[in-house]
Amino acid sequence: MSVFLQPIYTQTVGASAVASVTFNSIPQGFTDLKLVFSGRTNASSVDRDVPYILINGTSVGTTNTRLYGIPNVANGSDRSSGLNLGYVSTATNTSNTFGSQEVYVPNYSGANYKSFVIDGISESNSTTQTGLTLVAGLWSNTAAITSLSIYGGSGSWVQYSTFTLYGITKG
Amino acid sequence: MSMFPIASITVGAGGASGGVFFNNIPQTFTHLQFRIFGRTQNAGVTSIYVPATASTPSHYLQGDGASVTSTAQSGLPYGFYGTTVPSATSTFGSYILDILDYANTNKYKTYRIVGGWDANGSGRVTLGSTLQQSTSAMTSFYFDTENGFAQYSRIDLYGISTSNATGA
Repeated sequence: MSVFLQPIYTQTVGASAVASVTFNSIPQGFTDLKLVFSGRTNASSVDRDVPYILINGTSVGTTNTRLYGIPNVANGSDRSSGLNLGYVSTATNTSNTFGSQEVYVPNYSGANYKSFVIDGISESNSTTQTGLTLVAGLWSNTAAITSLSIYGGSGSWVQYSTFTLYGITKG
Repeated sequence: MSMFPIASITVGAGGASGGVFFNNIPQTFTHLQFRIFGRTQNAGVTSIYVPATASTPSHYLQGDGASVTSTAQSGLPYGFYGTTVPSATSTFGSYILDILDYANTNKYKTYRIVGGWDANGSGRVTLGSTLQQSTSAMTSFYFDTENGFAQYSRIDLYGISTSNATGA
């Protein structure tokens, strides 16, 4: 019997902050991928960071469309190059507080371009610092995804940030 | 297998005016996921209530079919301010709530919820969050709404594990 949701890799950031977390040698036997992470960066110049992903080591061919809300600051929708993810918490936010995010990648091994759907939030005990984001992403490349690198954005991932990659098998 | 059903509660006749409780949550998983199918017994649309203290902030990004808003709220005795369930006949809201690292004692607990409802003429779709400012492992949780959840509302709890391999 196949397994619906199979954890492939998990990484937890140690005492030293890291600019990125990379999952290499992603198995090609699943239908979809799902990345779940609880992250915070050490950026001190922004109230919310915008992490991004490199696919197979590159950002070439990646684009995204976002719907975002920063309560009491701004709402909007925009489009940009790069595979930007949802907001995560930073060093300016309440201590011990981490953003929460899910990235879903259907047909990651297929011969079509690769779509991403993302929902992510940063948290803080604040009425202006947090951000909520829904993102549709695209990698305009027909190659199979074999590695994912998740960068923190302006800052590096701090201790206790956790990242888990799951493989999902269809029925 | 990494996603395990822990518990499921379906509201019976008469509704659940006292809330829906999940106690003795196992500490053997890494993440929790609640799946909520809910309708309120209140006369109108009401927020979902979850454990909170006076200092618990809530935030949401929401569309109602006409406009987009984002709001922050704190100082209320419940989380998920503005993340709502409807009261229309036979009409239920549907949400997925993730709580990552719920047993991690180095972290405050971030609740992330996505979902919404449509009532054939009105509706809301919401991405919401609540910060529980406690590093304690989460061992129980509850849901409530104004005047309680209506009959046939259902909340399921799953535990999700992770991998020992890093792929680094």
